[in-house]
Amino acid sequence: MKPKAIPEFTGKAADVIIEMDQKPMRPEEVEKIDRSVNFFESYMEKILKK
Amino acid sequence: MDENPDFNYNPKLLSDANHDMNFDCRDNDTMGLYNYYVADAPYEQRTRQNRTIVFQDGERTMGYVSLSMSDLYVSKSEKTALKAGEEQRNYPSIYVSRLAVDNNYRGMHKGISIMAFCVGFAVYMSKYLGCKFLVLYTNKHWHTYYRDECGFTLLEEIDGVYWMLRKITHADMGKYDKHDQFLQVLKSLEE
Repeated sequence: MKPKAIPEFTGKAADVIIEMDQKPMRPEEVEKIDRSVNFFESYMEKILKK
Repeated sequence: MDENPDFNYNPKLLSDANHDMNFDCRDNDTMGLYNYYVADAPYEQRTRQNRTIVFQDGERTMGYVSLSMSDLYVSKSEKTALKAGEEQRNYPSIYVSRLAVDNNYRGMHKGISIMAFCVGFAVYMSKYLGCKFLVLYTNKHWHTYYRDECGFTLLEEIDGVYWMLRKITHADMGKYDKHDQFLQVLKSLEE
């Protein structure tokens, strides 16, 4: 499965992108992102200790 | 979730020297990621269509990600207004075109770690090039993984292709920008 290109987003998908760009994220979204950032920081520490 | 994951591996740009043919992600490979790694990734690396970064556990490749620059185009809708006179807008993004983990490293949160690397990469690049989002496509089977584990939002499903988006937030920028560690990792890619 390989789409030819990223489509131009219209309608609801366009709304999601624009709103995501303009509005603060919901707490549960921020929590997910914090989690991935915490993974990253642990990762950096491991690599840089080598 | 494992709070102390094993990060004992290094990111390197894919090369002839580290193109590990023992890498095998064919279990539940509904995206053709093994064939891409074996057949297409080296060519796209040379031509800079994609840049593939491999994550190594010793001599073994435990996962890889392929990245390229991209643009998201959106059209004005009835619900969401753009600026006056603006019919279309583009959002510069990093395109996560492939991400795979070797069969033997599944279930260890390696994919989350690789995606965290991508977020750090996008934040770092956004210092120098416009970059607001990470975008990827996946399928029905995997889209919940990116939603639940990596903080992506489903944008649209088109003919079985699930387009997903993750915003680079101010929180990301604050955390990743506060130190130059990522620059050291980027330099290590070339070594």
